[in-house]
Amino acid sequence: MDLSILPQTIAQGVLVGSTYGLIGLSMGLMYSVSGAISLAQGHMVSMSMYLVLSLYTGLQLDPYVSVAITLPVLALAGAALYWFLIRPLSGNAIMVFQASLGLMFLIENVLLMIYGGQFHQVPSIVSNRFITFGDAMIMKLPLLIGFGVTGALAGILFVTLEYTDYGRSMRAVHQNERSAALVGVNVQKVRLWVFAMSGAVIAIAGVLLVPSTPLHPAEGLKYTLVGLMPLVLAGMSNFFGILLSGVIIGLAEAIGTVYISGAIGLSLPYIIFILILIFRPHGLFKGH
Amino acid sequence: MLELQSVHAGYDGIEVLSNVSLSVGDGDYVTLLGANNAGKSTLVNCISGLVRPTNGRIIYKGSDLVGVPPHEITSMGICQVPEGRQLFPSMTVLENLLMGGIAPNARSRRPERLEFVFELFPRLAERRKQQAGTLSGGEQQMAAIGRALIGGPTLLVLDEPSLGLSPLFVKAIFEALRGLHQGGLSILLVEQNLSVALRHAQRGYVLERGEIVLAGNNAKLRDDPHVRRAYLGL
Ligand SMILES: Nc1ncnc2c1ncn2[C@@H]1O[C@H](COP(=O)(O)OP(=O)(O)OP(=O)(O)O)[C@@H](O)[C@H]1O
Ligand SMILES: [Mg+2]
Repeated sequence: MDLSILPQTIAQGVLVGSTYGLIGLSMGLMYSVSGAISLAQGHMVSMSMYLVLSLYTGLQLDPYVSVAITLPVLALAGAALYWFLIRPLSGNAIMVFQASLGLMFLIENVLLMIYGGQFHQVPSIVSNRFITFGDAMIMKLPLLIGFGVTGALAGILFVTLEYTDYGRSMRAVHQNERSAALVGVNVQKVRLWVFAMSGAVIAIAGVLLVPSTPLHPAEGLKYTLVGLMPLVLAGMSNFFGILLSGVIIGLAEAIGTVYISGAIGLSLPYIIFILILIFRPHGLFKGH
Repeated sequence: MLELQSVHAGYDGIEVLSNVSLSVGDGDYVTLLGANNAGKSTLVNCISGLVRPTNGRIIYKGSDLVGVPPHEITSMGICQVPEGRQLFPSMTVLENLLMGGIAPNARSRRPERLEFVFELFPRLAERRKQQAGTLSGGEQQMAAIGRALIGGPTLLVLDEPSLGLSPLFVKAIFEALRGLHQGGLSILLVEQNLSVALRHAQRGYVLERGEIVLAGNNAKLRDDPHVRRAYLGL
């Protein structure tokens, strides 16, 4: 066991984990206002990553620049998801589950058709930049950017939820939909906006993942899983808990990959997830 | 100001309200009385837009409210205090009150109305930072009324505000309502508690199994033999 790379492994885990937290957050956002979750969120992440690829091959756009395009596109996709799927099913969680399974296959096959089954890589000008901290830690710049962006998003989200009418309306729809409508909240509009936000978060997670992750159409399911785990660990609408739990999953993944060989190492995040659920069935942050 | 004309409504094809007509005039204090399951909340929710009548019209200031979404009806000046308070439990009292003025046309006047509500119910001012879910029933009712008032209603609709409250709180709340009415607010009060309702309102309707069976001023309702037998236990 090479402990000299431990600090760097931890840092890497934290940084990757924060993007997983973002995927979980995108699901938590949709759950909080609609009571339903789309399982195709991971595939939406893939979609946004391939969009980044196309913008790179077609227009030579750097991933960090192309987010200016993928963000509004994914926000629109999120809004469309609400309008055409969740709203007609009136938030019926089971039906949304099933419909989103269909959506998963649809997205995956469309991606396969367009891009084929091989792996793709999108370089960024910052891909191979490293930042060194002291003598032990060397960090890939993209991961550092990922961490910073996630932190900034968490901050924005916190201020929005706590101190703005918009955030209070979101909480109101979550806590009591009928009362929200009665005091004058346009519940449908809030849902539409939150789904758009959820899509925007997906776009950000996608762009953050691209420089350090190869693209493949079948990766969508993995992203759904790494998003679902923090969601379950933190409680469906505890947004900050979700981001933190994402970090835990990311840490487990990094440490498992570096220090434990073979299948066990690769499945360490899932093992930890199950262990936490066994010992804290109500999630990490719920009181007693 | 508000006129229900032959309103029918129900759930999943089962009719709960049949042919209900009633009116609330400018500055009126009207009560709607009825036993459990009579359809009182259904009626109130038809007015607020949460339940869509299957037939009939609800005319408010000259326009039909049927099909208008709830948040727009609130902006038009009809604010409901729902049965069972229905506060946002994990928001503070202050946040609940702020939500009352969330409609675009109410936002600018929120600070002064907040001031007004805190004067009306000083208890809410003391507890402004407390989570609404941890308030006592009476305090919750005050918060629910306060929340509705911050929307700036011309017609305040209350669904059983005395439900489950101690006599002291019932008194405080009805005194506040009396003051609001004297200040020009129109009130539609849904109650099962007839003695309280008839002490405060000017006139009323009795709803039984979805139909209005009796209407009139207080004296008429109080002296009606059926009302005395069925609701006052006399
Ligand atoms: N959302 C709903 N779905 C189906 N049926 C409903 C619904 N709400 C009310 N009902 C039914 O409609 C009838 C009238 O209910 P409503 O709540 O309007 O009565 P109420 O007079 O307000 O009663 P209470 O005094 O108990 O509040 C009842 O039989 C009730 O079961
Ligand atoms: Mg009722």
